[in-house]
Amino acid sequence: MLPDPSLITNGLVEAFTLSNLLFILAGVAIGQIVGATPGLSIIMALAIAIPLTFGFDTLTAIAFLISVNKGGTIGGAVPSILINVPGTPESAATALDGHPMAKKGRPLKAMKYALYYSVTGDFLSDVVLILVAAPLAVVALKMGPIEITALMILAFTVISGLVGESLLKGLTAAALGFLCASIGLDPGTATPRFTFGMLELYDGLELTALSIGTLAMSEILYNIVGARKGKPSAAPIRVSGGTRSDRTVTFREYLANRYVALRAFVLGTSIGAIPGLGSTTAGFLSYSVTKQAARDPEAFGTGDPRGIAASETANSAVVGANLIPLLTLGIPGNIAAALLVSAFMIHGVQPGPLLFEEQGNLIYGMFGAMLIANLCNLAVGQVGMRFWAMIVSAPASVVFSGAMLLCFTGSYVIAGGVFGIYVMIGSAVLGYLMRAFGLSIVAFIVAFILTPELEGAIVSSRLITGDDPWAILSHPIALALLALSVVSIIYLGPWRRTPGAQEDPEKT
Amino acid sequence: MANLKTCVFSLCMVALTPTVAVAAECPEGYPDGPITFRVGYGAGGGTDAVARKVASLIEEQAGWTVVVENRPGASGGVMATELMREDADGSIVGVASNTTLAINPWDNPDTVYTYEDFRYMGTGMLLNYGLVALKDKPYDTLEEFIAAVEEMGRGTVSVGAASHEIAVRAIADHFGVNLVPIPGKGSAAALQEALGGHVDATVQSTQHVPQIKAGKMVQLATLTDTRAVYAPDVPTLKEEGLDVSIEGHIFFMLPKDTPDDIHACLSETLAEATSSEAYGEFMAKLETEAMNMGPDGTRDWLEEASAFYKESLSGEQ
Amino acid sequence: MTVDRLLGALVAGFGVVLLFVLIPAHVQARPGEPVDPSLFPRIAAWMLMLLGGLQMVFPGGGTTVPPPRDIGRLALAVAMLVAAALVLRVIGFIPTAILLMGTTVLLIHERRPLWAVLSVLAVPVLVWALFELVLQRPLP
Repeated sequence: MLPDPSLITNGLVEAFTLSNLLFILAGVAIGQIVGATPGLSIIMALAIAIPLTFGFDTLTAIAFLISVNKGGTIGGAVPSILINVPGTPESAATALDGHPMAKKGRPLKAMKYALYYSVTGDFLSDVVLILVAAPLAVVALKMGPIEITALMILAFTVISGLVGESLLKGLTAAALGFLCASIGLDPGTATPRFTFGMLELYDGLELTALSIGTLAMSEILYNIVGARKGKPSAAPIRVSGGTRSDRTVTFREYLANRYVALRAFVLGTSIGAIPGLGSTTAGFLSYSVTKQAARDPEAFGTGDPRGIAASETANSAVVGANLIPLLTLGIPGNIAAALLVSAFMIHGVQPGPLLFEEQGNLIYGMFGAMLIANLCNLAVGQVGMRFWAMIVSAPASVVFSGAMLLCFTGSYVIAGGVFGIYVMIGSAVLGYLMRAFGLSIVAFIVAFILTPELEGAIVSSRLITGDDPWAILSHPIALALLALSVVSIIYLGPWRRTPGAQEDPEKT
Repeated sequence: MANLKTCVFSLCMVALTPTVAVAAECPEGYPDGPITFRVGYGAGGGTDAVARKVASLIEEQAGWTVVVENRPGASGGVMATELMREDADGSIVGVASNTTLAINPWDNPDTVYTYEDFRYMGTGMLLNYGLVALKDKPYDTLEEFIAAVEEMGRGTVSVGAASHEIAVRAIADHFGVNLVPIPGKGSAAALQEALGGHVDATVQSTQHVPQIKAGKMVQLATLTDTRAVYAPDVPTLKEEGLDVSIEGHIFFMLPKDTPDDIHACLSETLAEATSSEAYGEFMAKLETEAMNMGPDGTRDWLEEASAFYKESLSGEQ
Repeated sequence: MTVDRLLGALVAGFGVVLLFVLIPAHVQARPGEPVDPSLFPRIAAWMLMLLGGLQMVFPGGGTTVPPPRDIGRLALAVAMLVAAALVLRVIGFIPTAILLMGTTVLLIHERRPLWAVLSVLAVPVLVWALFELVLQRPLP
C-alpha cells in the first residue's frame, strides 16, 4: 500500500519553487497571527484566504491555505500561555499548564514547549497521512453511528481529568454544557428547542461566540473586575529575566515527554481521521488522559510541561489527519477541512477516491508543501514569540482592553452580527460566574462540543437498528469501545485523585 | 475596470482577460457603491461557492464591486428575514436555496416569510439529486432496491436535508415499502454513512459523483425532472412512474419593493454571468448544470415547489 | 460551606424549572420514539437536579461569593458591553469602540496618559484596520 518513493520526491521538488515557498511562509505567518489574536478564528482566516487564491495555480493555492491552517494551530497557544486568554478554542487546554508556567517566570520556555510539540504532532500526522491515508480511511469508515455513540461515551468518561477539583461541580458544569448543546433544531425531527422564536438560535449557540465568551472574555472580565485604584497595572507577564534555562527548552527536556507526546499524537491522529470530531476535543481529551494516567496528577495545572505536550501535540496532529477522510473519500472532517474542499473545487479538483490517480502530482506536491510548512512554522514561531512577548510587555490595561475589543469585534464578524455579540457577552458572564464558583469551564465546553455528536449518533443508531438495543452485539468495535469506557472509569476515574485537595477558585 | 483590491489579489487576471461589454440596461447612477451578496449559508458550502463565483464574474463583466457576506442560520432563514427589512435599493442581494424559500415557511413555526415576500433575479445552479447506494450492495436499480427492501422488511436511507427526507417518504409510499430516512448533519455525513455500509442507500446531490466515477457507488434513481449529467442512463422517478421531483436550486433574491428598473438590471447582469463560458466550466467541475430560470421562471418554480412541500409537510406532521 | 449549599440549591432548582416549565413549553416531546427531541434536555434536567441535590448534601469548602464590589464592577463591564452592542449599528464601529475603550480605561483605573490614549484611540483604529483593511470584513 506504500506509495512509490519517487512520487514523494517528485512532489517535494514540485513544491520547492520560490513562489510556493514565499506563499507557504506568508500563509504560516498569517495563520500564526490570526491564531494568536483572541477573537479571530482560523476558520475566518481560511474563508477570507480562499477568494485570494482564485488567481493562483492549484498547488500554490492549496499550499497557501494549508499553511494558514497549520500556522493557526500554533498561534493559538501564544495568548493561552501569556495571558490565559485562548486565541483559539483548541488551545484552551494548553492554557491549563502553559499559563502557570509563564506566571512562574518562564513564558518563553512555555511557548517553546508549545511550539516544538505542536510541530512534532503536525509533522508526525503528516507522515501518517502520506504513508497510510487510504487504509486508515477505510478503517475510519467502519465507524458508523453505533460505533460513534460508543466512542462518544468513551470520550465522556475520559474527560474526568478536566472536571477540576470537585467532581460534583465538574459534572454540574458538564451538565450545563450538555443542556446548552440542545439549543437549536434537534437532530432527529428538526424541531426547534429553546429557541424562543429566534431564528438565529436554530443552528444552536455559535461555538465560536460561546468559546470566545467563556474562555477568553471571561478571563478578560476577571482582570478588568480585579483592577484596583491607585495600583498602576504592570505587564500581565514578565518576559525578560530569569536564567537561561527559564528561556530555552533543551533537547533532553524535549525528549523527556516523548511518551506523552507519542500518546497525544496517536490520539490526535485517530480523532482527526474520523470525520466530525475536531482539534478542540483532541487537545482536551489528550490532556485529560495524560493527567489521569500520570503518577502525580496533582502536578498538572501548576505549569507541568507534560500538560503542554499533551495538548499541543494532539491538537496539531488533528490538522494532518483531518485530510485523510478529505483526500481519500471526499468527506471533510471539520469546518476547516470543508473550506479546503471548496478551495479544491474552485480549482477544479474534486476530492474523492480517484484523487490520487487523477491528481497524483498535485497531491504529492501538496504533501511536500505540508512538510515545508512545518519547517516554516518552526522558524516563524521562533521569531514570532519574541514579537508577542513584546506586545504583552505593555501594561495589562492596554493588553486586556485590546483583547476585549478584538473579542467584541470578532464575535460580530464571525458569529452573525450583533446577535453573536450578545451570545458572547452572555457566555462571558456565565464563564465568570462559573469561575467564581469553581465550576470547570473546560468541562462545560467539552460537553457542549461532544453532546451534539452523541445525540446525533444515538438518534441515527436507534433509527437504523429499529430501536433494538441488542443490535449492538453485532458491532464488535462498539463493544470494544464500551469496554474501554468501563476500564477508563475504573483506572482513570476521579477516585485516583489525592484526597483532601484544596479548591482553587482561580483554576478552571 | 475592476476595483484595485481584486486586481491585486487575483494577480491582475482581470486586466489580462478581455472585458465583456456591459449589455445589461441599468438605471442612471446605479450602482452607486458596492453591492453586497448576503449568503444564507456559511463559507465553504455549495451555495457560498456559487455566490462567490457569480460575484467575481459580475465584478469582471460589469466592473462593479461585489462583496460577499455570509449570514448563516436556519437554512438561510436568518438571512431572508433580515433581507425583508433592508432598503429595496438593489444594494443587497440575498443568496438562498430551495430549503430557505420553499421548505422553511412550512417546516419552521418561526419563519415569518414565504417565497412571495421577495423578488427574484434568477437562479445559479441545478442540483441533480439522486438516490445512490454502494456498489457492493446486491442492487443496481430502483426496482432491485425496492425488491431488496421488501425482502429485508425495512430499508434505511441517510439524508442531509428536509427535501431529501420528503423524497424518501414519497418513494416509500409509492412502492409500499418501509424506508426509514436517517437524518444527519448534511450531505457529507449522509455520504459517509452510506460509504461505510451503515445504511442501505443515501440521497446525494454532487458529492457522490467521484464515487460513481470510481465505480464504488451506483445511482439507483435520479430525483429531478431530467436525467443527471453524470448518470445519463439512470431513469428519473417520473420515468419510474412516481410523479415526484426534488430539485435543488440556488436563488438570487431582492427585497420585494425593489424598483423594476433595478430588478431588470440585476437580473440581466446575473444572466450574463451565468451564461458565460467561465461559469459553464465551473459548473462542469461541480458536476452540475448552470441553470438560470430567469426572474419569471424562478417565481413559477417556487410557486409550484412551495405548494408541493406545503402539502408534503402538512401530511407528515 | 453555605455558598456551596446555596449553589447546589440553585442548580437543583433550575433543574426543576427546566423539567416542569421550560422543557414542556419550548421542546416538542415524542415520548418513546427514537427521535424524541426532549430526551437530551430531560437528561440534562435530571442531572442538574441530582448534582445540585448532592452538592447541597456534600458541600465542598473554600468557595466564597465574590465581594459586592466585584459584582458591581462586573455589572458595569457587562452593561458597557451591551450598550456598545446596542449602539454599534447606529453610530458605527470606530465611535463605539472609542466609547467602549474609554469606559474600560476608566474602569481599570488607568491614569497614565500615554497608555490611556493608546487604549482609547490607537486600539480601536488598529482593530478597525485589521478587520476592514487586512481581513476585508465590513464593519458597521
